[in-house]
Amino acid sequence: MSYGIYFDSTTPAEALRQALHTLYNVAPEFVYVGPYEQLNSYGGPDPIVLITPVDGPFGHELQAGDKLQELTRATPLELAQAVCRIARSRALVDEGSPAPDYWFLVAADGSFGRVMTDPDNEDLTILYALEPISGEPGLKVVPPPDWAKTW
Amino acid sequence: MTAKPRPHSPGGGDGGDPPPPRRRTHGSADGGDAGNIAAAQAKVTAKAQEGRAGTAARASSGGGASPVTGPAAKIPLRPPNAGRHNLNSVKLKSRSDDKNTIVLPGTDVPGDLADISAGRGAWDPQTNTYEVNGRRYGVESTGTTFPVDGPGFVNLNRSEYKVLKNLIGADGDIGAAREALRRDPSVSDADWTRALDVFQHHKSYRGGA
Repeated sequence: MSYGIYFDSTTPAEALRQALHTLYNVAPEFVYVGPYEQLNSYGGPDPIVLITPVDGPFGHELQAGDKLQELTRATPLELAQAVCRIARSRALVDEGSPAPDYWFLVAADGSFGRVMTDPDNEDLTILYALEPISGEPGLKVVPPPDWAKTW
Repeated sequence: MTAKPRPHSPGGGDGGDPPPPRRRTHGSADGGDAGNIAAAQAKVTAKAQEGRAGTAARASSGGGASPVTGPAAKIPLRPPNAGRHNLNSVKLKSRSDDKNTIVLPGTDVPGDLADISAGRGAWDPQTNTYEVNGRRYGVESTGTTFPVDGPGFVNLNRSEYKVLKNLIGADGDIGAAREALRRDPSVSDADWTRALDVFQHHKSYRGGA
């Protein structure tokens, strides 16, 4: 299993690292925080999790593989929900279909729902929700036509 | 393929519910030609030749089109994002998803979309995809299409796509790509096989894979 979760830029990356420690006892030195290009010069042990900066409003990309899954026994969505609750953040998680611009938005209370991101923007920018999300009452909801549903 | 009733989910979840089951898709996840990218590329060439012959025949006989069905009858279709899908447009900074569909060079996506808009694609409401020239496309609510599977399409998982991006970013220097990914916990040796198979069709491939 691999993890690719995008957390809200307004949340400090250190808060995400701390959340992993609090929730799953992932030692901080096994969470690399910094640019991907500098990973090989990281002086700590080989990391289990990477939190690297990306452009846009969801500017922290959490990347991990099997070792994190062994530690947490959590799916990417479950992990995002737990981290968002404790770090008071939001996150975008792949919703599993081939549609590249459909995502699960996880709100700070752990609720989630599908959103549409801007297909013309390389950065992850939410256009609207595709279904109501209880923790994001202010987010405009534009239900998709039946032919656009991947679920 | 068995029709699957669409779940009536009022929302994603309240924080404790798993997502509802996904609608079923048919066809193989790797583009209909498991583990053999070269054969997939050969199919693309064959299909292109067949398509050109068929198009000419249809044009001379009056088009052979049926009424346009599905979303193309309602909104203009937009092409898939080239930077994500077209092999020679993927960059190191392209975003990785759980499922990443690569379009091999020579695959006539514009031709497919033109055929769909002209009524020569078949809309399947069970899977919400068009089938045209052996390939399937989905359509997002903005009208943006995305490749699903078929000749010329290869599905890579997140880690395989990351390896491919790094091969592209290293301009074909396989050693440099390996070094760049050396400490990445989400990439394993197994992710290199399919990525290298796909990369062999990239413009910067130098050999050595």
